[in-house]
Amino acid sequence: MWHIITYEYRQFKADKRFAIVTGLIFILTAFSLYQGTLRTDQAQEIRNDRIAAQQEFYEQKHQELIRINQGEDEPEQWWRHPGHPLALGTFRGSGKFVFPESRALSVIAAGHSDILPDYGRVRLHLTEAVNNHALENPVLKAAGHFDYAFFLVWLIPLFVIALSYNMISAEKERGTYTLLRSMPVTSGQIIRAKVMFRFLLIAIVIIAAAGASFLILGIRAQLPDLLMLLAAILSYLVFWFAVCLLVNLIDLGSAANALSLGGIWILFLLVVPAFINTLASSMYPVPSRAEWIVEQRAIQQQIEADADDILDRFYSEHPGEVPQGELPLYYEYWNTLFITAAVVHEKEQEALTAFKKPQRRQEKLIAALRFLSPPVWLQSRLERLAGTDAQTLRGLHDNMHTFHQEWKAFFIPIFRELRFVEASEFQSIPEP
Amino acid sequence: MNRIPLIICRHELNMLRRNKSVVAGSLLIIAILLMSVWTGAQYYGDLSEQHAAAEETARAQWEGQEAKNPHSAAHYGTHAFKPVTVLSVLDPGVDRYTGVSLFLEAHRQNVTGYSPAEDHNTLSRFGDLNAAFIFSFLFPLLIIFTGYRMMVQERETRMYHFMRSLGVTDRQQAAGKALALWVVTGVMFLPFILVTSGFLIFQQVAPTEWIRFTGMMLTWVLYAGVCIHITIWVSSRVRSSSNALVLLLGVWIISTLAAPRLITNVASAVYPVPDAITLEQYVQADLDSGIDGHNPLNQHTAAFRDSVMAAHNAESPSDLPFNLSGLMLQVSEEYEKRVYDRHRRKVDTLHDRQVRLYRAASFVSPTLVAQLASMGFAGTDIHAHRDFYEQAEEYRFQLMTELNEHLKKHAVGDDAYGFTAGNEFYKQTVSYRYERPETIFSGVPHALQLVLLSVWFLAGLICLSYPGTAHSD
Amino acid sequence: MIEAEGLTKSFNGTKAVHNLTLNIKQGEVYCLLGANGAGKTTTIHLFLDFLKPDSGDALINGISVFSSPVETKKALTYIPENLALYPSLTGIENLAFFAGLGGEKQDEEFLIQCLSEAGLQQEACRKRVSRYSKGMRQKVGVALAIARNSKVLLLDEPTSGLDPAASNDFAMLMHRMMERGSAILMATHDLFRAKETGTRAGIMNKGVLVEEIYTHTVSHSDLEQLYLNHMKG
Repeated sequence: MWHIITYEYRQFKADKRFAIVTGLIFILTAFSLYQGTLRTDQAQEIRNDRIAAQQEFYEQKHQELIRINQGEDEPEQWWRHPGHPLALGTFRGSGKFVFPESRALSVIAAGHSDILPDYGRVRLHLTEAVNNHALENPVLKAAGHFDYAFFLVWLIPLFVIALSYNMISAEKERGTYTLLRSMPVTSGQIIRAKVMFRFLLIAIVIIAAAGASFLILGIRAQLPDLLMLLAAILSYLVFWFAVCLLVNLIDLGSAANALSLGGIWILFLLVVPAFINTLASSMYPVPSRAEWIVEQRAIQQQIEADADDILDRFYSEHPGEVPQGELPLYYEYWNTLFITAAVVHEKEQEALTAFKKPQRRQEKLIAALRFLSPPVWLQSRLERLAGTDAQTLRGLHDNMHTFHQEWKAFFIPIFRELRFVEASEFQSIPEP
Repeated sequence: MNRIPLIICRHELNMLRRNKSVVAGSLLIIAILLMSVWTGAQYYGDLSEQHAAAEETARAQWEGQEAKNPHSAAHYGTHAFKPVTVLSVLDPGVDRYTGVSLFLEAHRQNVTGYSPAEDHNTLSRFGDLNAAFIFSFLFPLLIIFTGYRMMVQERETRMYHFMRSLGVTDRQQAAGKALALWVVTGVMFLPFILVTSGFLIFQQVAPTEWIRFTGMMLTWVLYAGVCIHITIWVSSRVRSSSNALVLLLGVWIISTLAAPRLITNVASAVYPVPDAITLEQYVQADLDSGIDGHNPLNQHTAAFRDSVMAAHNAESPSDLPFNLSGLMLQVSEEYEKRVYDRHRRKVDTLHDRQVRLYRAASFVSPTLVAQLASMGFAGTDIHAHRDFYEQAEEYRFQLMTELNEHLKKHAVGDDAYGFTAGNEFYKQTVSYRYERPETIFSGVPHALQLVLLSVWFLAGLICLSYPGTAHSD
Repeated sequence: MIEAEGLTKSFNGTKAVHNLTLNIKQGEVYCLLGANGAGKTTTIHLFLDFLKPDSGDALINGISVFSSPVETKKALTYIPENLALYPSLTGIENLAFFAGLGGEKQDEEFLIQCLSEAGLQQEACRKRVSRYSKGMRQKVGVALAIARNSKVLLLDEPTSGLDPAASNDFAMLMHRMMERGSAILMATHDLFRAKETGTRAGIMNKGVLVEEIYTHTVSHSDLEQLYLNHMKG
């Protein structure tokens, strides 16, 4: 076995196939990963900017507050007071940024990162998701990225096919097959060795190329993630080599083999995913967001009209919260807003199920069917590893909601007690 | 006209008819194509219903708002919804990646929100069964698989010399074989055109849609022609049929898969578009140097107010024959619009430059230019989206002007304090209706795409008339 | 060493080899003569287990090739009509590869020795096979037999297409192999070579072995006459 592998290698080296395959894999890997680092660096930069701006805001308020406490400064209006819970919790510049779960391997797949929001901003009266790519050219989004996942999912099978479509047929066409078969080896041994050689060649080159690119580009990742990535790539290779092996065993000649493998590639990468895609979206259609927009508006209008009822209900359920004594003018407006906002959120979540339910069903259907197409499986695996899959990114909304609760839990009591945030309390302002 | 190409064509067709995989492949693609029209039509039906309903509700919400100061109504705002075009059934273009709605409010221009892609599933980056995808990806493959051997096999089977001895020239052979591929492709286009025409008649579309549809078909027929000519030409130039296959598939991969993605990376590196918040910061910086209708402390605002008062010899705003806030709001709205327009145009210019890169890359990828042309005709390209945006923005400005004028005119004297406008007024305000441009070639780039595709077509035709003879053993 | 017992093989009802019985001993060169389609190549392919017989058995060193193909292949070397080698490898590399498939690893020096014993020039050994003539490639085949120390050689038209000088070289080589104690089965059209090289000749017609002769008992013209008579009958 090793004997055949060694000589396959010598032949590859001799006729430049080795150089071409290695060179292309190295170039494509380095290029796609480099593009990945550009993308993630940019996202990271924006992220750092936002966090810095937010830290500066609170740092400044803290300093102002200390100056006021020392009697060096006096705020002109209540809303300019640096310790006011509304100034710190909901006014312009305040609030905290919440990010979706980020993964070290995010360089490998752009996934949905240019479509779904990158981060969210949480304030007392409002949580909003922000998409860095909102102004990006839709033509670019439609064309997709040349990322490492694209290279692995779409191009690697072509390398596998190019190297293995004629493992036996080439021997036959060259005439060496008769001599080979007159030797004391079985045809099974020959083909096993050939498949093993090509598998090792591609696997080693891919790993070497990725390893070199990771080192040069300074991409760091956790070992378990890397092992998962490796396992995913190797499984994908195994699948394509199995397909090639099958076609080589049937063996209708080099040209026919190439044609059948090309057909299989098209089937798995173009036809099946497009078919699953269409099936999922026509079985569980997600309605247009136009409906959501008017619905959201209707909810808001409704709640505004019902504000008094809602307040009454709130106070009857929370008798301790009933405001006592003389209240500042702004109090009623903001207090109503905070109480109704929770109801709005609840109603909105109800309305959102019209979108989330078909979405979930679609994903479920795709998850069930993705084994029909290993490329689909690998793509979703890679996006998951990169943390750029739709599910992880949509998780942002949950993160925002969770943090919003913490944020409110900190500021609303202070607001209701009609006091300012103390300078010493600044450290306990919640961080996402 | 020489009859030999026709004889060759008929001979090739006879052979193709007996080739089970060609027949099966063509039937499969026709079936997928018709299915895509069916599912697309359903989606279109649902979507246009939803958008029409939303548009109606939005208007009702606007008209039904409680009595309030017109400027509060301006802040309350309304939504414009992007209409779905019939031809998006055939080519959704970039529609999935553009927002479906635009929030129209005072003082600012928003970004369209909620693209269908946001709600779309994991597979959004894989293909989607629609006519444009099938024409741009699967048709070339079928043409390649059917035609890659046509010329080269004559040499491989030594039929070539025999044909030469009968006086058949290379050019006649190439013409005959290309003709055979044209017939196969034509047969595949035919049921599609019939079914789609039926659908368009059923939908009672406007005459311009028919012109657009014709343009789309022209685009895809030209593109198919490019594929046919290149396939036959390559087949005549290579040494062996497997070389032909590898070469043609390589061209296909570069043209349909690699080039578009590469250009995406290049375009976003060469012409980076600012992120939404950064742009907002630029806009804010510009606005701060202008007139702000809300902030009385702003020095520009104060200067403007003083000048108005001086012009009317008024001591206080209440002495003026009109409502000063109404005027100030309108003036600041105009200023804000100018600032926003300027920044939006900058982004648009960046987008145009990026698209120009795609167009420039069409010299390696006829697919790119065909896709751009097709979505242009379908009205699902970036220009169509921009047209929607601009009309919606125009409407926003009209609406804001009406609101400000109302305030300026009626909130005078005793009415000034606590002035409100009721339903009667909001019902009269201008309403929004998107008008699709009548002209299909809305600009140079549009026509350019068709020209570029024609260049490819002609180049293919010229190549075809010089089939290779170099490797005739 | 090379034995056939009632070997029969038919394709679609046509008997390609019918009830063939052969016994070739050490130090013999047995030439199988016959027209195209007489069954010579089928016979050799049966000995290589490329084909399964309808009935009968083929034995190498007393072992059935059909029940233990790998075992018997270890003992033999086959040189087809047109010995194809890997064009991108050198003569030595090709030899090392094929010899190595038998399990035994040889050093380069030994392989060069084998090649030169087979009549290949030293400098030619290191050239890529794509630049070899047919005669040179056939010599690599013989070198393979030497390297593997095969005592059984199966040759299918080894001299067809060789020029007379190369053909003569090849005959000499066979003679030497015979002297080393090999048993050689050679299918050929070339009556002249059969008489010169072979110790025995068998004439096949339509799958049947119709005549066996010791070549030293007949003259060239006798052999030719005999052959033609069989073809007519």
